[in-house]
Amino acid sequence: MNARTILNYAILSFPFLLLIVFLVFPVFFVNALYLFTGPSFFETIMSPSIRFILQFTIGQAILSTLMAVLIGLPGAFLIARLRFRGKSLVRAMMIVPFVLPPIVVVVGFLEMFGSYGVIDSILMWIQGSSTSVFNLATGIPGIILAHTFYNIPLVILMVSASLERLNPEIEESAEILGASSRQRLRYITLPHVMPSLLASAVLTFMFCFMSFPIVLAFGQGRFITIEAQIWNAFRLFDYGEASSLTLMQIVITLSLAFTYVRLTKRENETGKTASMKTTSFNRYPLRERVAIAAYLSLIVVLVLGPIATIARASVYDPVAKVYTLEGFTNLFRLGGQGAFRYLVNSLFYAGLATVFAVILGILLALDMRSHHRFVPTFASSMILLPLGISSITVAYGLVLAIAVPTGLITNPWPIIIIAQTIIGLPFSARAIELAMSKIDPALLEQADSLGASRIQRFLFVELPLLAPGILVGAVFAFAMAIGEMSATLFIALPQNYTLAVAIYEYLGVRAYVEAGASAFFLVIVCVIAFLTIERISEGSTGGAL
Amino acid sequence: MTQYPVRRDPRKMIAVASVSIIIIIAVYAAVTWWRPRFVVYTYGSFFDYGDEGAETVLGRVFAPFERQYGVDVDIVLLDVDANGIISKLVAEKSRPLADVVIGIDNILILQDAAKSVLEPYTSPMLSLVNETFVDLLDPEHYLTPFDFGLITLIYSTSSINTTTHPQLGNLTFADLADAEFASSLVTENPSYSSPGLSFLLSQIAVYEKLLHQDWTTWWDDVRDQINVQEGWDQAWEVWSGDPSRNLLVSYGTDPAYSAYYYGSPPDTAAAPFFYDNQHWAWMQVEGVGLVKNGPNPELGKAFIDYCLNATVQSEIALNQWVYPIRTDLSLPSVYQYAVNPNEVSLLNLLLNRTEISTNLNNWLDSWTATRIP
Amino acid sequence: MVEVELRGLLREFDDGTTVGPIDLLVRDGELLTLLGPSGSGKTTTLRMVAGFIENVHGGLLFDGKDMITVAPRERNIGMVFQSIALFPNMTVFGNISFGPDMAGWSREDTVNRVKELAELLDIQHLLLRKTSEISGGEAQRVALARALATNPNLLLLDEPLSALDLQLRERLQKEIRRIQRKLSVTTIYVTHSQDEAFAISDRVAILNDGLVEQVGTPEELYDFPANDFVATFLGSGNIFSGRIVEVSGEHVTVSVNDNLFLIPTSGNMGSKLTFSVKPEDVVISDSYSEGEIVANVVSIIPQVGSFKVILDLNGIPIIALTYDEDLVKRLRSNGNKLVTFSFRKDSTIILSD
Ligand SMILES: Nc1ncnc2c1ncn2[C@@H]1O[C@H](COP(=O)(O)OP(=O)(O)O)[C@@H](O)[C@H]1O
Ligand SMILES: [Mg+2]
Repeated sequence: MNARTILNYAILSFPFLLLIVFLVFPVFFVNALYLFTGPSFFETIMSPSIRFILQFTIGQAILSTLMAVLIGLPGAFLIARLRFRGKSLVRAMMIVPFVLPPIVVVVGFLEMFGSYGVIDSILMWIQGSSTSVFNLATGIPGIILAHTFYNIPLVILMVSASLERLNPEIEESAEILGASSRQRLRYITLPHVMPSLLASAVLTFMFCFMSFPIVLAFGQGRFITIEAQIWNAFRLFDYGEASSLTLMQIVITLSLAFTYVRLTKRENETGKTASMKTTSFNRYPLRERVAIAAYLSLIVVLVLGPIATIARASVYDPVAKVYTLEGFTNLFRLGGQGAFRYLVNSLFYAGLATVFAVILGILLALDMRSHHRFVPTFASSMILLPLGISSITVAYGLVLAIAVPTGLITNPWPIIIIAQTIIGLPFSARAIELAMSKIDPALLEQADSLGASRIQRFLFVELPLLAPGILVGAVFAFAMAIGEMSATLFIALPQNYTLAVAIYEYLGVRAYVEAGASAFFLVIVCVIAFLTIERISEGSTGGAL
Repeated sequence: MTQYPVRRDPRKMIAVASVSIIIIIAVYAAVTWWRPRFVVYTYGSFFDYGDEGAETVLGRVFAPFERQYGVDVDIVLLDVDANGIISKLVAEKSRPLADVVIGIDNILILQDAAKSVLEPYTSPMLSLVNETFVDLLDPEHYLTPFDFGLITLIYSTSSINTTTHPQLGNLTFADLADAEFASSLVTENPSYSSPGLSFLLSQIAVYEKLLHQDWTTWWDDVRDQINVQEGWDQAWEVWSGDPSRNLLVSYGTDPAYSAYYYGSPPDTAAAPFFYDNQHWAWMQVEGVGLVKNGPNPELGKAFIDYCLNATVQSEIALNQWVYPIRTDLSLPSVYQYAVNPNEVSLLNLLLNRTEISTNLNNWLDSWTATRIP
Repeated sequence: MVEVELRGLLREFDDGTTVGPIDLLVRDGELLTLLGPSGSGKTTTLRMVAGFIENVHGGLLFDGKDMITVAPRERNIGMVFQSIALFPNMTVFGNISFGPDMAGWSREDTVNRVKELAELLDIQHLLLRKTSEISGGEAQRVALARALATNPNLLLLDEPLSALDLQLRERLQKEIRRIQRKLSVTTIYVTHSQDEAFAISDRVAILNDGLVEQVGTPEELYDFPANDFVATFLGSGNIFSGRIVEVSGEHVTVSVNDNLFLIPTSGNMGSKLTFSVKPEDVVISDSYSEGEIVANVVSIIPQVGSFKVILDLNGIPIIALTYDEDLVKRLRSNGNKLVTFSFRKDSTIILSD
């Protein structure tokens, strides 16, 4: 084994080492510590209440996934096929749910769908009623709707990206061969998008499966997920139960993760980016235009509605009943109750987490390209692991296994950055891996044959070619990191609180304007970042997932 | 020659980026560098319900202590509830950061986890505190009582009152199970909220000890009408926003708060339970405790003593909106509207401490089971 | 420059397909073409020489030095890929200067070298363009310039012209040949087109199923194909295969599908014999005389300066070349589909099996 091989192995194993130290070890540490205390694993997962929770978790995830796919699919087609101005803005808006801390979504939903919310007020006015007649922001409808809201953009982004990769000539040949538009959809288009549709469904399912703040807020104590039950167990110091549940959760989510990897593998093979044929709205037949308009109004109500209420909340003080910019000035106020330090913390942590998530993502993408037998599979599962482990477990593990022994609890910001890196990693790594798989291997060999060393090849050829993928991954990682609340809250001391945590705090003391403005600020930062990236990477952002 | 593009070495860019990132990290690290100080963990809303806000009040209240002992007191307002604070302390057990923790109540202290992170301490200042509070909170002195409140139902007098609903004057759980009341009631999830848990224990105490009935039947009766919110904030939100939800599980001092801020007589009234010809409420006593193996144990003890000083205690009523533990101090006049602790019997006394600590998790499980459709 | 020797070079793919073992000597400064049908292993062989394929068996020597363990970037080769593979993130100038830049040449040397090559290949006006803004033929030249920039000892070209139209292809063939001569750089050129191989090469190696069938100058190959694969592939002959039915002195009589041919060679009664006759050695005529063999005319294809006449002799297709315009006119006008044909003297080539 010469020095080069050793270096090669070192580079390949470096990201694994980091992930093992900062993710696997802490989680294992917490769970191993407690798994054998209290009731046994099987006793826990077989108890009737846990069985119900598991059933509910899976059931609501299936329902939410179905809803998200059903509503998202037409949107994907519209985004891919409809030509309209401001398309990139619409696409950029898709990232909003990624940044919105769930607590904000809850508030948006209450304002939109809750009793005395926007829809209820309209209905009350129509029916001349003085009491509430409509409330969807509670119980199962609330949970499903909120999950749908969160995941529609995911489906739209992933499926429309896949549609845009469908070579229009294939559909045209089918048309020439006499296929009706329905047949084309059935035999050409659907089979083409199926893998990405399934992949987005699996991802949606996973997110809903792991859902926690939404379920707590709308669940009325009746409906909770495994994830919420893990928090519950932690709160009640029932670490044995928490460990058993975490283990069960990891097993389920990892199997889903593998399905996801398989599905996206299949899709990658279906081809290169093709130029999509788009049609402007006016060229559609009337019937379709009506359908499109109806669909768009559904999206407006379901997706834009809650966001709009949040935007309004950022400038409207419901207690004093006045419009104010106080929320935004508060963002830049130093000291005291001012949110400037939260803003700085948010940008600093999420920024660094993004940098690390990108670096790790590049290294993991290199791993996934490796010819070794198990390295690529191992890398894919490592990437998805963070999606499948409850954030409280990660946070608790990091505090217990890293912060306390190293003395970092006195000033735990590095731990927060680590946690946010882990949370953003699946997104950055995925986008970078996709970009890397699109690089023509001949280019790399060409660089080799021209005498470039491995580092030169990486710096002068691969890195520039990866740049769009890196940027896309970075934006998603940034959005995830800056919107992260639960893990940050557990790790942080107040001096480390971020805007997402501050929003939670503001809502607690009914400082709605401040909360709204903070949430809106998060949204704006990420939308702008996304728009910029869309410009640079020429609209291939959806492929990032 | 100059017309041709020069190949830019990304290494330079990477180096520049790395150096700037390192500088940013260094600046951030330097600014936030840990200076040894005296750390007190408490929950986020500590002393935050007054006119001035927590920062001002805490500064004023603890400045004399800082001066006397020459330390910086860092009151860490964690955005979690007391359970969260204990979780944090458990995680940090092998190397605690905090010296003192404020806000553990008389139910939470029954958990072994809470005791495992605390060091018993008997403050000489306890002589100023009514012994019932010590007994209610923690006879073993892991905690020293700090303040107390009464958990009871409140309602908004503008929508219902004792004239329209005379039951409010002598409320029973049976009344509450009545469809109209049940669908007006908002409470908190006992797994996530201490008032919610207090309410659950109140109900259990009444059913098991006064009525000798299976307590779960009541929850079955109200299952589909009662509104259970995650925590007090959200419950309050529903109660104040939704006119059909006008009964809330909250604190007996809420009428005083309402009177203070929105004028007297207040539009909020309390409805303690009424059984056996007396009113009942659950008393929540919050304590301050010394963190086990904390970095400054002696200062910690001094701090606990200081918490029972009039300087601190006299600020509780208007900033925390619960009763100070020192009953010898005079209360603001609006407290005449609050539920008077001397006029209610304590539901806590119906359940003894070991009973609660051994059954708590089972009760919560059973409660969860009643909620499952 | 460099002499390249392949000694039993063998690559086995995971699915069991093998390319090799290949033995081949590329002489210093010559242009050797690997010619073979698609899938015959040309690219694989080239990539083995370049060093892109790990786990190859056998030996690879540059001027007698073993290269197997040397990384591609240290072999001092220039390569043009089948897919051209210009770096899309760089200008044309950036592409050509890539090698010199990586090798750390001075700016001045690099610019001079790029200019020199640009002049040689007539692409000066393209240097500042992006790679997406040039045509296929220009891209080929840029790729060639890029491959030549660091003065490689060995140039590897993998079907560099396959995507171009005929005229452009022929022009570039000439240019490649000219530049290769001028620089006398040892070159291995891969193509599946016989015309291209013959137009450009000093020597040609015919590949089939991962094995070298024959190596030689174009003339040698054309005139003396070693076996029927080579003969068929080069289109250098009509191939006949039959049994010897009579041996008489200097001749044998071979029966091919019951047609008897007299061939000037020796052999044993009853043994198999394969021989080929080049189209230009098949003489046809429409005047029938006794004893001559008659065949059906299937089609007549006009070519530059000649006609390709396809005959059917009791099921055996035979291709003949004729320059006789009158004959063709007659054949076309009178509808007579029968011609007689014969082989020119000493024109048959005996093929080994
Ligand atoms: N990665 C591979 N795995 C399996 N077989 C391969 C692989 N690459 C090439 N082959 C096979 O090796 C043979 C030679 O391929 P190649 O060298 O590309 O042919 P050519 O360049 O002559 O068209 C073909 O039969 C091809 O199918
Ligand atoms: Mg090839």
